Amino acid sequence: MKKQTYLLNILLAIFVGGICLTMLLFDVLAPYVVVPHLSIPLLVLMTVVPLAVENYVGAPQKREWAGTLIMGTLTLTVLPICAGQLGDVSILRLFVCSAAVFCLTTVLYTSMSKRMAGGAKAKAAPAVNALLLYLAAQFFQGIM
Amino acid sequence: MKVGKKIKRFFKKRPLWKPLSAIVLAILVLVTMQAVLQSVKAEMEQEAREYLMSNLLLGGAPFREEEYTGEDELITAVYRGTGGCVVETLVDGYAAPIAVWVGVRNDGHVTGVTIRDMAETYGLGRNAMFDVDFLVQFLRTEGDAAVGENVDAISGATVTSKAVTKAVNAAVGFVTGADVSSGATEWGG
Repeated sequence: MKKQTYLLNILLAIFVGGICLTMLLFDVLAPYVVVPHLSIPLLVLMTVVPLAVENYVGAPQKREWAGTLIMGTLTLTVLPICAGQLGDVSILRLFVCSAAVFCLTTVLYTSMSKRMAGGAKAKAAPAVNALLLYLAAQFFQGIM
Repeated sequence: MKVGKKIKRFFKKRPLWKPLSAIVLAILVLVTMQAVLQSVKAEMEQEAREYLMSNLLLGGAPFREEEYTGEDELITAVYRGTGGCVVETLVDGYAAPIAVWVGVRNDGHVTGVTIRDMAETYGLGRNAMFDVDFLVQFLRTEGDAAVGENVDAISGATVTSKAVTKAVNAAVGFVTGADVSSGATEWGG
């Protein structure tokens, strides 16, 4: 384990910012395109991609959990609001969902990544784990 | 060089500032973009609306909004054009309400169906938006569309298919005058 950094939060801000910007551009410049709503699977997707990318670009991090989780929740809540993607979702609901999704997904993915096979033969493992978590979130929404 | 070193030292001493700076930067970009694009948003929306409506009811332009005073709670707006109407409906889907626009001629024939908004499951209900084979079944129906009879449901998305069917029948009902509360009909099919 290396020293504490917040690589995950930086990647999250870049990725969520990019998705929100894309949604904003589609909303304004191509209003006939049906843009996905803010939903639990979308929040999970916005969390697992930076987690997978973190696995590829950085050495294993020692997380400072409190800071990581607070800033992750803040990112997932504030950036969609700034992009005007709130729709009919209340800010409180988005905050609670973002907190729950980010905390659960990060804890699950981090615990999975510690048990992931390493080496050249397991290059796809971080991406596959991310995909599995996303599919699980879709399934979860389906049964709700 | 000195400034660069100072910034590097600053972030090294305070690791929390790096992600915070990234978040603030993203907020600034999004707020600026929203402010810049706000002026063209209404114009683009109007253009897209006219484009879609003139495709749903060919030769129907110009369209003017008509106040809807009927009983059907599924109908949210009505635009009357030459020879027919474009009816906006909002019907309960599997995950969330689905917004369906239907073009109907004055004689009750459906001329076009498009799904404007939905949050159905990817790979299942969401396919209704792009599944031409599914959507084309509603063309020339006259309020008699029914899943399992003259409409084949999308595999794994029966609820979504029935919801769209219900929306199409509600729109036809408005135009032909058979406008009753279709919301009372369970899943429309």
